[in-house]
Amino acid sequence: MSAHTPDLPARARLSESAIEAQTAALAAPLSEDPGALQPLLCFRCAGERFAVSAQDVQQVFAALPVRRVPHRDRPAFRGLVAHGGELLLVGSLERLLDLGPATPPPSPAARMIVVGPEHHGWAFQVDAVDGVVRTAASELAPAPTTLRRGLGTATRLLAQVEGEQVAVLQTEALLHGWEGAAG
Amino acid sequence: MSDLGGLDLFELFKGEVETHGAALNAGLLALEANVADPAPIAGLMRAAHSIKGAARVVGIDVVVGLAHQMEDAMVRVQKGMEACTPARVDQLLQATDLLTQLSGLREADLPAWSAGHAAEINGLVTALSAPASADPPATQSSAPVVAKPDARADPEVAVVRVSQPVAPSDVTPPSEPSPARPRPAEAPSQEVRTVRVNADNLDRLMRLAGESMVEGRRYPQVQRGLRELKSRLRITREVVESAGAAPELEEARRQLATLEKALSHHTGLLESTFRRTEEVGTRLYHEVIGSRMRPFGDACAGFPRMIRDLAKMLGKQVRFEIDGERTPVDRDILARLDAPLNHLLRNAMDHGVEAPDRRRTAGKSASASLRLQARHRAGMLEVRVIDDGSGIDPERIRTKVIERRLQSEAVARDLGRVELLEFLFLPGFSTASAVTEVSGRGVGLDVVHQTLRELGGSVRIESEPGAGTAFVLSLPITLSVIRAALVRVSGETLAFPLARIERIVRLPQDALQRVEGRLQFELDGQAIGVLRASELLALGGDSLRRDGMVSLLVVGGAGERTALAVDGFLGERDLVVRPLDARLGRVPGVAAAAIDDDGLPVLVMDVEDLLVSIRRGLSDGAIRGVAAGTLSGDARARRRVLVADDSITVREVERQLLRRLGHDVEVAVDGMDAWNQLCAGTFDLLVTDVDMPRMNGIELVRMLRRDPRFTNLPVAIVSYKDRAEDRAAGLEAGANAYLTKGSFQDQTFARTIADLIGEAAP
Repeated sequence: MSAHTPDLPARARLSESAIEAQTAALAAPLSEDPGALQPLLCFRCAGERFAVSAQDVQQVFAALPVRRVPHRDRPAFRGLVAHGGELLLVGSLERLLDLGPATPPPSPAARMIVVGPEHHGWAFQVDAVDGVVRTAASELAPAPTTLRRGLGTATRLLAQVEGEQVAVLQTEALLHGWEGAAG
Repeated sequence: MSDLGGLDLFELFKGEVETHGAALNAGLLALEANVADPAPIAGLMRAAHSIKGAARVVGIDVVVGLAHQMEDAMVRVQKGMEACTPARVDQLLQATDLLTQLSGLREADLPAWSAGHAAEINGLVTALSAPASADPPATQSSAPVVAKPDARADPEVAVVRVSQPVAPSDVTPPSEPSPARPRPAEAPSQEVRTVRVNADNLDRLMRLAGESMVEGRRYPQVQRGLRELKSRLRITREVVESAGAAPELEEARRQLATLEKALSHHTGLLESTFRRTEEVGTRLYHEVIGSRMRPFGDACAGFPRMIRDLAKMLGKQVRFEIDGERTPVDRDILARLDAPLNHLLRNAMDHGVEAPDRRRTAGKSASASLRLQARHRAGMLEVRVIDDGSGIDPERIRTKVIERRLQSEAVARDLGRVELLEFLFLPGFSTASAVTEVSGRGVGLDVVHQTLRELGGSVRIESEPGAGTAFVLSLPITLSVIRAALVRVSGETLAFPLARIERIVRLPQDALQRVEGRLQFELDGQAIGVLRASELLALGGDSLRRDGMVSLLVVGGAGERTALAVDGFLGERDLVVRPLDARLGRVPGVAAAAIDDDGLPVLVMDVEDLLVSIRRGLSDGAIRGVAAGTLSGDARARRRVLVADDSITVREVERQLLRRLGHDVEVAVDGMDAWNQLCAGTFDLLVTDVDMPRMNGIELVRMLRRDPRFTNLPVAIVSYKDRAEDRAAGLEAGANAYLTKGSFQDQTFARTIADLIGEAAP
């Protein structure tokens, strides 16, 4: 990276208070545009509709068999799946959120969604993927206290999709729950 | 330092220093062996110049100055302005040693290194800029230089060979005429082209190549579907043909015929496409695996220098030869071979090779021969360290065996030479009268033996008193691909490395005998107990077939052979192994993961670790063997747990929870207290907090994992810290599980404790 030589004469024309004000403005967190559209990946799991931020999704693929790991018989952790030459850890959304049985019955529509950082993502199986919708931040409503403050919940916001209320899952909470179950 | 396409500049610099340092060492030794031949000087100048340029880029001025003076000194020799004296070669080798140290440094340690070596570097710069003298200058240490083990390549960066490396090198002290002319450090025709590739990228490429091969093998599934389609078309045509001769049916018949023809045509195309895909996928896969291979010579770069320094130090004359430098070996094996070879060569120089006078008295030439050979033999890598020294006297071993009461005198008297030589691999067993500075440090022969075992290989000794000794190492060519037996256990497919399986047995269930209610069977006249693999791996199910047959894997060496009952055998496969995801922590009994031919994950078992679990489980009652009749063992026992937490509240909560689970509980108020209690007593599990005074939980776990007494002690960290990096730090330190304190509120804590030490007896 090339070094930038400060333009001293230009800086000298600004007053100290102006510099402070500009510095404060630059340092302030970016405010979200309430009208900006957020992409959400919508899916169905255990009879409920959910969504995760599409930006957190690495890939979606048809559900594959999961192999268990010895000494890791924990409800929210299912095991390993191989896809694209990679081995992925598989969590159970049903058991993490206490929605139903750990292993969903096989179905042609079943998909696996991989969320989280590259090379450290988690796969989880869903009954079906509905697609990506774009929702304005202003249209996202806070989830009720029972969800936002509840132990073992991951829903912080609710989105209106096709007239239905969809729970927007916080990816960080999912990863946190699964990593707790696997390690 | 800046980042360049994912590779840190300092890492690139280290790679350059390593490569050119090896060239400097080799060239200087060649020059020393024959000062009349100026051929190596050009290569030496290029190497010093390259290091100077690279050091300038990363801004290490002291190295720029030193490399510059090295280059200048060589220029003066090349131009005939001064002679290449032994003292000058020593200075240049000393400077090379300093430079090669850089390849093992972390960037953060660079300022401290520069400060610590400033005086030495300045002294060398002064000495190198002064005219050459026959005697070593005052700046040089009067003690002989003993080469440090050659700095290895950074494990995160692999070197992919794209052409052949240099030919074997010789090292001969100047006093002895050299039978083979040493080669210059860099001969243009033999230059090695290398590309530095991030090891993670290479691993990813290998995984994708494996996936590509698997995809190519899916044709049979597609073929089955196409056959079904053809069959249905044929039936439809037959129905239409038998339906009469109406004009509209005639049109249907024509359409069906066209369809059948098109289907046959496209089936052929698809088949040939699949075949090509499979062929290319398989070739790609093997090529990528091949790219993990490095020539054996890469592991030998530091040895000629080490032997030269040892010869000077010990006053011995040695002709050192390396054969088979081009032999391809997996880079992981190569890295693990460094310490054993280092030890064997030092051992040979110290104890094998005699001093010139003694050799002359024995009717040998004053200069000894020491050879390092590598070759592929019967699908294995065979490495030999051969000297023509004094050999090993088996009678001295026999005397030691009797003195140390390792065998009764009567048995010891009957032992043959081969059996006696095996005793040298026992820990602490040595026939040397004194431990010396040369071979008395670092790894011993027992560790050489252990390293070879860990790599799935073996070592043996061939020796003739008075004529010499050969250490023969036999090991797999690669660790990336293992030959494994696939077995089913509780519905899961697991891989057991074939090298670790003694026997695969399938028996009628009534061939098993009952002793104290436990099952066993006889193999080669030895009674072998049967354990359920499913119980050992906590996979549930009973791993015993109900068809009256039992499938057994016999593992473990003499004295601890154990049969693991599995659901069945699925055959043998070559598997490309990969590390288990670090987020899983240490999984007992599991070494690695792989993907099988069906594209499904398969876990590769760590048989050594399973044997440790078996020993431990049997001694504390957690495992009792497969019970006859019910075919179920009682795996429950009362365990002793140590809880370490500086909060009395948390300690009490954990104590109550663990007591409720049926365990005996002791408490410690911080890491130091826990360490003291663990050293003083016997515990089955440690549950520890992270933030504690005096010694925190991470430090405690690291200390435990460094101590052989606690290597296998299960440890669960329970902390308020719940960030991913906290969890990673705990697991990396060696904890088996990392829980947050929220786990008390659900069943996670209880389930984890049960996973780690089983359920308590009622």
